[in-house]
Amino acid sequence: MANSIMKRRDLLRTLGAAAFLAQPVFRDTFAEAQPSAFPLRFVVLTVPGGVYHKVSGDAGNFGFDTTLKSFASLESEMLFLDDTWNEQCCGGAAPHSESTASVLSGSGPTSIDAVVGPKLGATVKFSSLQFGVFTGAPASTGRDNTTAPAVDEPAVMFNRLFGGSLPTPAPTTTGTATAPPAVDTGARRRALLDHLKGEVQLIKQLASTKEQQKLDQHLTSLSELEKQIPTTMTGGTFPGGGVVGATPSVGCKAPTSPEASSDLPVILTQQLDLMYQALACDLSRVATSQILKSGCQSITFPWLGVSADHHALEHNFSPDVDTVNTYFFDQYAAFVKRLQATPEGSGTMLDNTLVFLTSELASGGDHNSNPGILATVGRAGGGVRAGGRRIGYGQAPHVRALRSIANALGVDHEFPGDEGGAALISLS
Amino acid sequence: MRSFRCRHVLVFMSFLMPCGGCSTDAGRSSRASADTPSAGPGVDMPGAPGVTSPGGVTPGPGTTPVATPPVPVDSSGLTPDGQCKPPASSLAVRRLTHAEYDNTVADLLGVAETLGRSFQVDPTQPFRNFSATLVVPPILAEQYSSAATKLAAQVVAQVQTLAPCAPAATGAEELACAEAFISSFGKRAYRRPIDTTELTKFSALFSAERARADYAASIGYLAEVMLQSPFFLYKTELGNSGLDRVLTPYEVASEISYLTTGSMPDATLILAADNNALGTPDAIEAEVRRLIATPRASTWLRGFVEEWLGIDQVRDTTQVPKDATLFPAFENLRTPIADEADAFIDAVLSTSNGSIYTLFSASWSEVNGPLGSYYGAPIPPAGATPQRTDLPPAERAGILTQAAFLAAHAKPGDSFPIARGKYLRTRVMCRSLPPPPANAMFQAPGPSTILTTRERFAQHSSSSACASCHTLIDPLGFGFENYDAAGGFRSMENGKPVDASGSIINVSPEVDGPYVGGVEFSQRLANSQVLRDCVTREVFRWANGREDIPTEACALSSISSRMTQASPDIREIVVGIARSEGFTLRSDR
Repeated sequence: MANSIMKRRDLLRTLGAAAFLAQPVFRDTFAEAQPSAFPLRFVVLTVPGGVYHKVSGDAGNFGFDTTLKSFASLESEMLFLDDTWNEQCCGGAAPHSESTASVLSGSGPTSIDAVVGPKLGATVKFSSLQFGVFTGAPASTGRDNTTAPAVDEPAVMFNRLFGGSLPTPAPTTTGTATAPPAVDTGARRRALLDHLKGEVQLIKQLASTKEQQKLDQHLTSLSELEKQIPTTMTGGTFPGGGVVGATPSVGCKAPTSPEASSDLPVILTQQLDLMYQALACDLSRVATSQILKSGCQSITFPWLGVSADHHALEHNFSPDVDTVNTYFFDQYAAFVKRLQATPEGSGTMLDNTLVFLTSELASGGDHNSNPGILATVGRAGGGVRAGGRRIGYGQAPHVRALRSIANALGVDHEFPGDEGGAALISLS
Repeated sequence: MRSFRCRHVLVFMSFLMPCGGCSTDAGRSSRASADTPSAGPGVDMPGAPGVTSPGGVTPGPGTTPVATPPVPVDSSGLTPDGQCKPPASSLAVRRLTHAEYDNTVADLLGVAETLGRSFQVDPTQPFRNFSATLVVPPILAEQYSSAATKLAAQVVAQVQTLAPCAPAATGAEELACAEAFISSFGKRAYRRPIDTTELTKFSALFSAERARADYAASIGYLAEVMLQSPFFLYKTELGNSGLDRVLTPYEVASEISYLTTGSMPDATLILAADNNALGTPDAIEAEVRRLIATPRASTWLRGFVEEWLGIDQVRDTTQVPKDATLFPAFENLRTPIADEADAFIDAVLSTSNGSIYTLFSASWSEVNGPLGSYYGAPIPPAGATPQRTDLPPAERAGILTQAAFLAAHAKPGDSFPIARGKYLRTRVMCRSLPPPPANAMFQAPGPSTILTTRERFAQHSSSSACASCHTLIDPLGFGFENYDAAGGFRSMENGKPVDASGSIINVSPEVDGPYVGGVEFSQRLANSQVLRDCVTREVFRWANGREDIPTEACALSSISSRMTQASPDIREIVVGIARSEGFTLRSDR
């Protein structure tokens, strides 16, 4: 049966490709029009528990099902990375509660945001940021600890981005970002961090191999703190000390502190707004958003009229799964459209961004680890050619698609389960 | 600070046992992904010759600087001549849990700060202190940094006590004052002496800061550094050089202290380390017994019991949510229910000699007025404070029949016997289950106003090819069907009588067989070797912050035998662990 589906898909793909060639409307000259004058950004948006690939048809004629319908108007910016197999990722029931990290890392030590973060975010305050909504603590030992944990509290993220836990330059008086004042706290903090790094190195020499990764991560974290020393930032500040990165977009606005809430819709809205601000103010160029965690049993959706928890919805194969996922994708589409609505040079923020949509399973109810949705939106500053296409992976491990994405962002990385030099499938 | 977490399905197993019969989706099957026991000790890499532990400490007695070949042992850790010689575990650094951080800060600075409570949440399973998951991601490094800034201000406020210096001190005099602070405060922060190299580095940091700030602020700067130091944030288990290592006396002092109290060594322990007086099991036992008698040790051990039984988060509405429509009384009882668990465990530890038997079978508990009425106590107490109260003996016996356990292991509106059965089997009786097969097709039964919970789930298990596994789980949970999702007792559900017959299958002849209700289950288990062995293993995992391994079986058995039917004191497990060879030996093999 699977084969017949594949054949049908191949046929559609062939027909679609022809349709695509006949379409004159796609802008595919972006790369020439936009040299790297603007920050290159990467955003990962995940939904929990599995989403079937619910786009039918092919280039220019996609049929977006209910769940994804809010992405329909973004069709020309999208690529669907089809026909992958998640064998190295999330197959089977046992690991599914940890599998968002797995899908982004191929169950390896480095998730894709950490792969591209150091390069894309080398000159900004945060190499990458992880936003969460009720993701909670990692369930158990193992996989999640290799990936930076998502932060579930908007207030914490706000303080990291704009708050004053670290010394900040003196405030200025205008409402927009201004040139940075002279700051002299750098030497003191640098000496402190150098000392700490030396101590971690000393322990690393003494400890067993097993502990190296843990200590390396600590060293990386200390380097991240070093990047936050205000003297290294050049974009200016807001009144109150909020620091702005080197290349803020016109979307960067004076931030307001998020109000405390325990409602998922409020928190999700706040987190997506902060994520937008982090990118627009050039404080980070890599960000991930994770909503819930696979197998979540404690969160219900009363504002959607859904009183069961996500895990129960999945296992009951309830139509309400679509109701909930539609809601999630609606919020994500609004976020992407906000990037698209923000001018940047002759294009938009979205043109300089690659957004990656995914979920760790195709469906949660049967722990189906056939490919969940793998799609991109945006053009990565020219690293992705046009949109509205499907790209076939011929049942390759899904991490091959991660490699394509990393390459579109200028980083080559072979993920676990697909090492050994398989031909790169380019998105450009 | 708010802490939102999504409570999710916990899939935790360690050892495997055969359990076949579940079919999988046809077609592609993914890898079996069987959880294996955590890697044994010794990922091989030579140590770093010439590198010695900082702190300038002398090795404890019994150190064998010359490597000896490892003793061959069988699969349970026994040598050919029958001695129990589990291989030493590998060198480790274990980051403090946030609770340990708070305790340590409180002891170090004499201030009641709880900054750790707002740190990024650590993994909770199977114990919060499992070392492999305790890392320092960027968010936590930031939080440590801002916490250190706040705490340094406390040091500045106490500068006259911590780093006294004459108001008109010269530069050289100030440096001497600072060096005294580095040595004294540093020894407490690092839980070992500061060596000369370190002293030089800290002195330089002080001098550089003194050029920018005043004396007190410069002392605060040193504290800010130390409070972010890996020597403060991690417990080191490195010993001295060589392949076979004995922990340094200061590391032993920390091991004893964090095991018993979850905090830094007190002055007595540090003095013992100074005097190199922690080199024998007897000396270690004496210190463990001194500390374990203190109230803070009781509180710390209570934390173990609550983490072990999965009842440590009952106060958290997002972790243990309840359906307010079905259980309107629960929110008002949430705090009394959590208080009951705390007070009951404290009472068992303080007045019942730490008896695991009492913990699992007491006909009394520590409840307040409203909770006593909820339980239908014959004579409910008055007031809001927990008091020792007899509960209906046919309905309640010990902690498994208390609302904290029953509510924590249930869904918001559903008693969820599968989850209860699984927890009882894997964590309370320490019996394994294989992971569900890859691509297992299963559908949880939806709510019903006609069927009982048991009927709904019985349908589910009988109709599934997975029944051969579920027979090990489901009958355990079905026996607790007299307790609803909020821990209330019920004899009827949806107009039908509740069937609370259950069965223990393939655990041990000692406990196997049918039973009816949570009280009979608890009474059977309370006096069993199964329970004593299981709690021993769980304390061992908690004490070591890692899974036990097969070759530690003989050591576990020996420790477990310290508890007898006559005196099943769980504190003896802690003593046994501290006395065992593995407590102070590490290997860099």
